[in-house]
Amino acid sequence: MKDKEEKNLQFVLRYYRHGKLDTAKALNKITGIRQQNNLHKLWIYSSGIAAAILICIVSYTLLSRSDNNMISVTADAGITRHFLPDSTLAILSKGSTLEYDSDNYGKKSREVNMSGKVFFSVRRNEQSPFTATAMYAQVKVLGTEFEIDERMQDTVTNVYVKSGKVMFKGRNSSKGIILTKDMSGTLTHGNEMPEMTSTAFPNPSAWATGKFVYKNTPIDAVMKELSIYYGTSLYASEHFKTITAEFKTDSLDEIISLIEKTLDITITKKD
Amino acid sequence: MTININSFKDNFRLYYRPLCLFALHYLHDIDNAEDTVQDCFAELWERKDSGMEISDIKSYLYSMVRNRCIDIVRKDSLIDSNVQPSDLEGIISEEECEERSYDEARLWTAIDSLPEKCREVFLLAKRDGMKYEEIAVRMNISVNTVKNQMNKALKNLKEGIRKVYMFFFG
Repeated sequence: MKDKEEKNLQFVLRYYRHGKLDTAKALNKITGIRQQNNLHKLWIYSSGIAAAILICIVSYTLLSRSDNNMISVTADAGITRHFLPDSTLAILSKGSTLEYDSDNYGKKSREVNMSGKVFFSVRRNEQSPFTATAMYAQVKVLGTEFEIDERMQDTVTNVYVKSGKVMFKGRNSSKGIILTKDMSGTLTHGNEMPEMTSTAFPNPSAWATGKFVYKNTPIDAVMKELSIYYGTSLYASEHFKTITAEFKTDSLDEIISLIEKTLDITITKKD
Repeated sequence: MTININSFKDNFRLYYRPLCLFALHYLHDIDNAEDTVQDCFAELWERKDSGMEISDIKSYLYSMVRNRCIDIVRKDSLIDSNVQPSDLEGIISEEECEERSYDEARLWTAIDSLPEKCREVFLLAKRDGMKYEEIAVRMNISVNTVKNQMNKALKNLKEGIRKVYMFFFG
């Protein structure tokens, strides 16, 4: 058989099931439905009402119980790591909260509520989308790493995506923007749509990941990020060098001495 | 032309399988594809009494199925708004998809109408990639019989592809 036919055949075989796509049966089904339709309409209508009432009763009993299963995590002491039931990791900065219903989480969807600043590393699952809802904003994803920062209440919400792809929107609006790797978005409270913003630093989520990763990053950008992260002022003796490296966030002095040695420059610290 | 019961039935027989294969390139699930195509025909059936004029029923049906498939894929994927049909190797164009759906429907029909034993041998070899020896052991027949059945199947398929219109009436 020719190549094209072989391709067609492979596609057909992939889905082939004997007796499926029965034209005669399908035709009877469609033309038959219509004849019974009027007889059944009233019955369908009344059974619809009955079903709706039943759903109300069931959901009421379920909802009134479900309070017991709400799990709340509050990061009082400092940065707190919390694993959700599907092994999605949430890292909460100090003072942030996270809340979800452990009974329904992961069934059809994965929904969490949060406040403050939280970094998520979401386990990929296309069957069950992950939605994080904050006071003003909402982010939907399939599987990715991102951070929502809503500590500045009544002004803006920032979202930073470390990897993957997310949809960022206002809490109650239906449209939003799509952010991918290394992109940031800002939602000014009161606005409908978030806006794309440039990511200010190479490692916005260093507080959660415990790492600074630099790839051909200008030394000045590195100094700026480290200065803000450690609350000090750092200056490099040269400005036109770039660095590719990975540092742990544990010790600033160690990072400084490593950069000084590799780039052969001096770094001064002014408090 | 306006749709009456007879023209509806003719068009249904003609396009039902090709449309299912067409939808399959978007949805990649045979049950979903069949449901989607049936929904479209059901809608057309409802509209036939309204005396609506459709100049080109074939492209009308194809656009209807395509739009519905795109809606379904969009709803499921949350964020990917660019929906394109694909085959086992990757994305294909909409024109190619429509064109191929006829040939694939013919293949489907041809496989469906193979004698049972012959079809089983063919599916084990072509779909599941089993060797002739393995098929012979599994079905408790000789390797020669497997070869004969395979030749018969391939011959029937080739003929089936040539007999174009007969096979739409599955």
